[in-house]
Amino acid sequence: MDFYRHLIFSLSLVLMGQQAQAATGQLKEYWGDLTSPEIELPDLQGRQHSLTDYRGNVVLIQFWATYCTSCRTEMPTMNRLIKKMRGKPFKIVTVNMAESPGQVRQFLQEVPVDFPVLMDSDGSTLSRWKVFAAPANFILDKRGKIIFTLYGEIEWDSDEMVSRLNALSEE
Amino acid sequence: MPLSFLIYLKGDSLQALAFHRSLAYCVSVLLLATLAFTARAESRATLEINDEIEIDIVTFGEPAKTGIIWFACRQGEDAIEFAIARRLASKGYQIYFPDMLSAHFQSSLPSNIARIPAAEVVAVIEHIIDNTSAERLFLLAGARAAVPVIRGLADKKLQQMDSKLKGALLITPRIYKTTPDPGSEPVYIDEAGLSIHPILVLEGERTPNRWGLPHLAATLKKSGSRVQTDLIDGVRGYFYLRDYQTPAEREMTRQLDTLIHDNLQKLGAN
Repeated sequence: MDFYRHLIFSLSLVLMGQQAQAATGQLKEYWGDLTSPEIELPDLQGRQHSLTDYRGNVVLIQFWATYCTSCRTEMPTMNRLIKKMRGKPFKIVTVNMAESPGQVRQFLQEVPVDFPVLMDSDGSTLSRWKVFAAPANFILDKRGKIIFTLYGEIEWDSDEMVSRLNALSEE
Repeated sequence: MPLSFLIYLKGDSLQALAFHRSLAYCVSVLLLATLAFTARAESRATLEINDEIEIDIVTFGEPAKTGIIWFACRQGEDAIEFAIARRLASKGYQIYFPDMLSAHFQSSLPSNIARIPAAEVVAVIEHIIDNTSAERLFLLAGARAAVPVIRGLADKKLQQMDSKLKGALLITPRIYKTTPDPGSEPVYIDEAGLSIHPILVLEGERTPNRWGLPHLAATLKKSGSRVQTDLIDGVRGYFYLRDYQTPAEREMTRQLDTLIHDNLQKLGAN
């Protein structure tokens, strides 16, 4: 009896974890009160990045962490998305959630990426952006306004997503 | 009587017999002591809430000054919570495990745990308050099991009693209505913010929920609860319930009794 209860509990935890980390991602129109929050952060090499540098592009901002299994799964799809969007005004910027450079470097050796990884070492940026789950995604239009958010795992290079991002980049 | 013993008796003296008698006596005393301790250390009682609902309460430990009511996600001999309870009992606590789900013939799904009626939680707490010899009681819960605890703490009757209930320790609690959308404040269950008892929240250092701690604390404080928060290094949310743990999570699970003990001290356990 105990065995079955634990089996059910374990399965439910797995489901809860997946729901928490990988609820099937759906773009949601953003109606929150973040208008155009700034990001001023260094990347792993210490180069400073500012979100204003990306104006004129549709920008996908992802807040992620090495312990987030969905992040590991979907980053390769983000690499492929960049290739599919080549020549379009589209950029990806990711922000690591206050982990150490060593943890992030080790992760990136296993999952190489073709986009900037910014280091929010004290978590102040993600707090300002009201990020409480991972991966947390924001899609900004060319003027820097958040128009969609997306929480959970998704295949970023799916035809549907590429088509939506294409449409946004042509607006 | 074993053959070897007869042979030994035949060939030897009363001294040998005395030795064996002593040995048998010692073993019996040890066995009885162990059985007596086990019986006292773990007992079961049933609380009848109404004609349909009966809640089993398993108790670990001798009567003690400090009692813990643990609303656990899991129950049973192979649940980590029971193992931790035994270790807490050896630290001088008495631990009560109400089995809230079996009363409804429900499995320990997080969604079921979150649906436990507040009235039943309150009835259990009142029953234990009325029947314990402990001078102070603390509620303990983790993950979604924190939902019924927060609902219980919101109950006016519990708040008005000159009660032994001294506070709640929540380990990586998940009391959201739904997972927060990016760019939006978390929304908690309606009862969050209606408590007056002290609450200590422990959150994993390796979970995005840690960034919600200030917001959670501000919410829980709204009706007067004194709220403390702290991070547990190197672990993810509900680390002790995970099937696949990192080495740091395994280690912290091994030390969970110490973690609970240390944090109950902060709540005023001793």
